[in-house]
Amino acid sequence: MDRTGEFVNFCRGEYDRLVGSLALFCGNPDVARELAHEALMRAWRDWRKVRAKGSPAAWVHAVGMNLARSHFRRKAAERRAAQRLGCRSTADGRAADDEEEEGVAIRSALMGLPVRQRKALVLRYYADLQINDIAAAMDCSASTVKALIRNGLDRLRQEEGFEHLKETEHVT
Amino acid sequence: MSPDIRTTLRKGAPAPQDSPDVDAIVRGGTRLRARRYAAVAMGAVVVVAVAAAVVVPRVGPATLQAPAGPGPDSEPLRPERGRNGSIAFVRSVNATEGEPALELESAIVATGPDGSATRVVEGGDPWTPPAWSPDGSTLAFVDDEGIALLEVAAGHRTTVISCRQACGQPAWSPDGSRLAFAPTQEGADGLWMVNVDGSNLVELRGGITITGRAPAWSPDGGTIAVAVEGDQPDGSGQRILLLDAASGATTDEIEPEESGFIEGLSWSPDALTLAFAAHSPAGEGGIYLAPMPAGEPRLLTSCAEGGCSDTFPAYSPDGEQVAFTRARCSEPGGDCSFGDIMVIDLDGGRPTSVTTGPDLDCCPAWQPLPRD
Repeated sequence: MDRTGEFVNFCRGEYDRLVGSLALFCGNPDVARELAHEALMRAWRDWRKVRAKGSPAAWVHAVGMNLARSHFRRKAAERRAAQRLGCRSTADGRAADDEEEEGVAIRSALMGLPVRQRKALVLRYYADLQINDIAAAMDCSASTVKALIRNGLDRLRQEEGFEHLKETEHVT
Repeated sequence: MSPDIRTTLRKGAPAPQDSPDVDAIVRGGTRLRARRYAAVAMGAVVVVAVAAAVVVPRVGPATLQAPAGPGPDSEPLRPERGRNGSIAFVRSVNATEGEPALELESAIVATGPDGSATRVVEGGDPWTPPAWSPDGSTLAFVDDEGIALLEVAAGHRTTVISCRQACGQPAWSPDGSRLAFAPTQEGADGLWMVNVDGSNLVELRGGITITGRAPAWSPDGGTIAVAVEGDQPDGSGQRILLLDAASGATTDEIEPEESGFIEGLSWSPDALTLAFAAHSPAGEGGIYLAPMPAGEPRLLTSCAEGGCSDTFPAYSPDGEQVAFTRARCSEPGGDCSFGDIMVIDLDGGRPTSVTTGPDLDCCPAWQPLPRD
């Protein structure tokens, strides 16, 4: 298979999982689709290097989450500027009416977690990445990832409706 | 029955709506690549071309001798005039206007404090910015293999430890015999030390998550400053810990007024001041000088109002100037993908540019020239 064919297969195989991870990470499915598109474009731009890293999926998740943070930093600055001007910001506004209630609840609960705990939980339990790949994507050690997951779960259980959340595996 | 975490998270992900537009992704990625090459062709190409021509011999075990330098038992530290050598920094050549600087081709470049005699000293995508040894002969940085030392004049290169890119940027001890760094290898949080010959690798302090920037070893040898991770949802709230260099215990703490992100730490040569950059998530802040131990920081320079960001300070060896990176941002708090090295006099005045151009020049380290 040529390089383009290989990337196209990667793209098709990874897209839904990437959108899901980014929606959980940033709380907004529409923004998640844009970010996934952008992250995959960057993966193709650097495909030789990305492929050489061993886990293109981890790389593209990490880039998508970096892009999400840049996106929301910009949006936060817009909101503050709008507040200073005494007007209401429409930045990051979204209607939850037509979204499934449980989905909104979990995304909202995740948004209450520190960003690194949220990232580790999503990459492990939604994107299904291995601890070592998450560590590489987050530029930290495996033990740090495990601690982030443990603490993230503990914190999530403090949210109403998630008190009895079970771990599907024991993270030591 | 209680829900499990995987099932719960799946409920939070949107249902697949449509297939990705793979053609658009490939077209977009190809366009990004073309823009990168165009940027290189327009000027930054010099760095890559020269970097490719530099032949750096790789040799076996480290053979450096510990250079003489000030230590904890030395006379009181007195900065000296005439010790300011080259400024080394990382130049990343393919940032494209309006985009975050991700996955860049980069090289270590050195330039005179006035911007003259700019030259590539190390190509090949170093993983971290460089740090000059106290005698000004050697650069330490992380490459594909691990922590590398490059004796600049001789082009003699050694690997201190093979931690590949998992090691953080090293900081030299003032006597030049050891390096401190914050690794990201499995089971190795905290602050570690190793002799320059690769021996005596020890964990000085565990239980802290140091951000991906270099520690800063005080010139009197007694203290190591590190920036530690924040606990806010956006990752902000970072603070500076002052650690005892012998025991690793926290001796003091600095919480910047702009409670956000800390980018770069540098001690004055007399060890009486710590320079650091701090910015709020909205991009407010700049470079601060904190009297030591842990005095009230004062703002030295800021360009947050001008849509840019001053980061990564580095004291001049004579203690009279500070070099730093002025990153140009898309907006306050936004992406800052291009940057120049600037220098500011500590007795006042406006910062002046040492480098200019379309690249991202970041993270200066100022070379101390040998003492007479």
